[in-house]
Order: sequence, then structure tokens, then C-alpha cells
Amino acid sequence: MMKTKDVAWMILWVTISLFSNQGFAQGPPIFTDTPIMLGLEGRGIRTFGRYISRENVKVYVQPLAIPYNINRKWQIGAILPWRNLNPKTEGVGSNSGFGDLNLFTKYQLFQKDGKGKTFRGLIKLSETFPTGNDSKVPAVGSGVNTTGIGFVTGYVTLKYGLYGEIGYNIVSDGSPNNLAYNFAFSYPLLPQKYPPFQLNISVDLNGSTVPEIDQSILFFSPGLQLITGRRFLLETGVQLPLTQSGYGSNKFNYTYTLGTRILIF
Amino acid sequence: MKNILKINTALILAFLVVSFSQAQDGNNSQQIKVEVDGLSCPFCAYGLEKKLMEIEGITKVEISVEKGEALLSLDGETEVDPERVKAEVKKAGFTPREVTFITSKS
Repeated sequence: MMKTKDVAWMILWVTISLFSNQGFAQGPPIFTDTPIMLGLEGRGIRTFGRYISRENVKVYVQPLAIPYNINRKWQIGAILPWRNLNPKTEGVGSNSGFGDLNLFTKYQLFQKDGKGKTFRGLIKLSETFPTGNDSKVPAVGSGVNTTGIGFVTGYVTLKYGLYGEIGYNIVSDGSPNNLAYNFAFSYPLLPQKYPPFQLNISVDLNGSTVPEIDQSILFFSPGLQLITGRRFLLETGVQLPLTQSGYGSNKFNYTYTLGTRILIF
Repeated sequence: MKNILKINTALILAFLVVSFSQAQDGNNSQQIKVEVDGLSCPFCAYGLEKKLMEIEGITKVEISVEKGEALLSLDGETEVDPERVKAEVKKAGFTPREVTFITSKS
């Protein structure tokens, strides 16, 4: 039988995982996924540092992701996060280590191309395995399997990009499931050319809800991206909560992200 | 003396023939222009460049995202099949349109 405190930490962990993996949007924008699995979006290596500030805990997450394109429509990949949790609660120490391993696959369902524009959609499946240590509070691992299913779509032109994503995450031990949804608008500030030298702004709305416990949050997430060549991208962004409910005394203050994507294949 | 003059004249003629023949070869450079739909982001065009460079006989690939096309320079010796070009564009995740051979005089 899990203690209430453990359940609370697990829900916290699942929420953090949700917002940790958001950075693995496959390309611009920063906090929302994209249906384009090309260039820097596949066969690369990606990492970022994300600092999450909440009322009761400070979290630093450094995930490493390696996506690989089997073919133009099918991608597989893995994400392994390193976490550091610093609770502000009296008598609870910090903890750090590798978290749970996430394996994912994406398959493109449709693609409609025009000159300088594309409209695509894909289905995304993921499984998070409890590889992280969950024996100490705060735990870096969840101790449970989480299965995710999602749909990602986007309309991208040379002038702007519009993206949408919805995903449902099922927790294996009967703990509350959650629904995540993201929307993004990205805009290039420099003329589009190849080889690329791009400066993009992106504005995201990132939401998550856990209906079973009436918990929900919506972030406003502006960000900036610098692409300095065929193989290298730098990005930074913040997530500021617009609304949040059901988090009690552990509300989100903000998250800050600084990351890079490097194409290796 | 006459022999030296003959040899010099022969060498000059040979040089002129070789130079003229090389100039003739250089006059005609062949390129392929392929129109590509879906080129909406410069950062995702890298895969297209890589795929097109895999085709035998292609020496250089220039991509224009604004025009939605790729310009392929040929080595002049290998025959390049337009269908192969289209297949590689598809493999890269884009939609190929018209493939045009361009012969230009330099």
C-alpha cells in the first residue's frame, strides 16, 4: 500500500516527466512536438537543461534523446533523463540520478506538400520504464510504467509554423492518467536560406490535466532558437503558468530551458 | 635547326589541339534542376542534400528553399536517371515535381 506522501511524489514525478519530455519537440517550436521528422528532427542527438521552480521543490532535468529515422515516415528513439530534486520541505534531502527510460516511436499518417509549405500529421506511441531509483524520497524514478499515445500535426510554411499536439498518458498501477495538449506558433526573424542561419521565435501554450484529481495547468511558453548551420541548433525558453489548479501548496512558479540539438548522422 | 623548329611547331600544335579539346569539354556543363514541394524549413533540407549527393554522377547540390528547388551539378561522365532523382527526393521526405536537364555554356 503506497503512502499518501509517496503518491504525491509520484504525481509530481509524472508531471515533471511530462514537462521534461516536452523539450523533445522534434524541431521548432521548443515546447511542442512537430510532425516533420527531417534534418535536425531525426538522426540527431539532443539535450537541454531545464530548471523547474515549484513552491515546494526545485528540479533540474538534463535529458538526452536520440531519435533515429527508420525511413521517411517512421522514427524510433530513446530519452534518458538525469534529474536533481531539491525539496524545500524541512527534513527532506535532495536526490539525483538517472530517471526512467522512455522509448518512443512515431509514424507519419499524412503529408500534403506544396511549394514552400507542408501539412503533416503523425501518431506517437511511447513507453516509460521504471529504470530510475524510486526507493528514496524524493525519487528520481517513478516505479511505474507509463504508456503514452498521441497525435501531432503541423502546417509549416517559409513564413510561419503552426503546430498542435495532444497526448494521453496511462499510468500502469492505477494512478491517475493525464492528458497533455500543446499548441505553438513559430516565426523566422531572418530570411530563409540554405545552408541555414536562422533566428526563430516561438510561442507555445502547453497544458496538462489530470481529470481524476481535478488537477490542471496551462503554460505560456515563449522561446528563441538560433540555427547556425546544417547540424547545430541552440534554443532557450521559459514556461510561465497562466492558470493552475489542484496543485495545493506545490504550484509551479516557472520553468527555464536552455538546450541544443546536434545532428550526428 | 630545322628539326628543332619542326619539333617546336609540333609541340605548339599538340598544345593547341589539347587546349581546344579541353575548352570544348568545359563549354558544356550539365545540371539538373528538380522542383521540390514541402521545403518549408531550411533546417530540414539537410536530409535532401545528403540523399541527392548519394546519386552517382552528382558532384554538387545547391538548395534554394525560397524557389523550392535543388540544382544538381553533374560530373559529365555518368548518366543520371531523373526517376532516381525523384526517388531520392521522396526518400528524403519531400515531394518531387519536375526534373529538368540544363546544359549551359561557360
